[in-house]
Amino acid sequence: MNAPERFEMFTLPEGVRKISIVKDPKMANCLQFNIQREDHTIANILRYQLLKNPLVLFAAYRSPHPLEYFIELKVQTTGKTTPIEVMRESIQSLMIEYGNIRSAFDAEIYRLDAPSNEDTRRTARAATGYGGFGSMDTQSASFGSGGDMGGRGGRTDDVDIDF
Amino acid sequence: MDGHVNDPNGPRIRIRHLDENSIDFVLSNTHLSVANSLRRTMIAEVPTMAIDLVEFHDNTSMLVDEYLAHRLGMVPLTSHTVDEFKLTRDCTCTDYCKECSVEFNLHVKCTEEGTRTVYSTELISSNKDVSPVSEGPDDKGIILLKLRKGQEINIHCIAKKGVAKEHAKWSPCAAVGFEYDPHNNLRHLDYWFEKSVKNEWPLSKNAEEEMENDPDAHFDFKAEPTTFYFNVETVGSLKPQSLVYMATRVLQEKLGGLQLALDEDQNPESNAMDDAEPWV
Repeated sequence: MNAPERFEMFTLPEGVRKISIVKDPKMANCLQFNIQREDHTIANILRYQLLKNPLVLFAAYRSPHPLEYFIELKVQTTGKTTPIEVMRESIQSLMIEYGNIRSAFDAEIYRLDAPSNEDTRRTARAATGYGGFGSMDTQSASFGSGGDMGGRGGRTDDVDIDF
Repeated sequence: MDGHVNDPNGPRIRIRHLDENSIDFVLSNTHLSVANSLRRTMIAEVPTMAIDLVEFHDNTSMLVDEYLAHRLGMVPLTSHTVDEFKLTRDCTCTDYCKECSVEFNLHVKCTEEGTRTVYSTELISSNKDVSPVSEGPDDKGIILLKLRKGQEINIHCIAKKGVAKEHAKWSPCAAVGFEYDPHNNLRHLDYWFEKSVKNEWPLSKNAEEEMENDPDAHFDFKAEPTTFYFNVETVGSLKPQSLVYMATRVLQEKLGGLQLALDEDQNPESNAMDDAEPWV
């Protein structure tokens, strides 16, 4: 009877801000970010990335109620920077981190297709193929595959993210 | 974002096994929260196609309409072209159209003596790229229902793009195996035992990849897990490597959305919601 619809977990209604910011009245350089329609998936990685930053004095999040789909992320910094600035940096770093994971993954898939991997090739060959994700060009960085990737240029660049 | 070279100190991936339905890989040099969010996204936030609406023209089978509709929703559909579809709520059409949905038809009447078993592969799709998952021409798919002589079903189904957060039918994963620290060197686990932890708790396969710490050595309380063993098994709607790939992309898009939202309002004062209800 009171249960919210499942789509409420991720659809932002009209007129509701994704992020609203509340200044903490008692602590200096401290903001609380209320992020609507997000859960631990985003909150935990943001919190962790914020804590990595030495200029961040306090970073914590909570999900006040499992049926109310928003999170509160409180950030306090030293006077040298602002919470909004460190949030921006953290989001940026995380995007790069996941981009790196994807590149590393691409490189591995590519390596599996390499002629030297005869045993995995038979099963992998049928399975590889992204089906519409763009080119398979990968970074020529080696990830333990011992340099047989040299010479291939280009990079995976399938993500259109407007900054 | 041009030219960022992969950091040799950055995350590393090693694929241990890859086949049609599963991928076993090791993600290392990253943090637990990053790995966990990847796992959560793979399960719940990677979009696929699944039947969402069923129109019944005829149903004289033993299964009630809603029961059959539920079964149809759970049928996995090949979703490698899911990116080409819009979400129905974002689509400009009224009701539904080719850009946001795929139609399926099924009309079976049992005319002979004996049971007529209806399989998922008998659903006729309007889009050849989106059809019930089948392992090959010999695989008839999932049994949808069984008809007796004289029983008939005539249905028209509409499949839409969605994520498992809304309903588990949209999940591309059958299971995601996730493990770290197989020897419990970090003491994140406090095993219950009768006489001996070592004898009563068998080691996992991943224990061969890591060394157990010397029990007499000083405990490193600052150590954190950095190596994660994933074993992702898919339902067949997406290839396992596509799944992992899309999960990283979904996460990046989410983060990008947050970045945009942050830039929208710079002034914390104008944004204060001290009196307003946070939950709308």
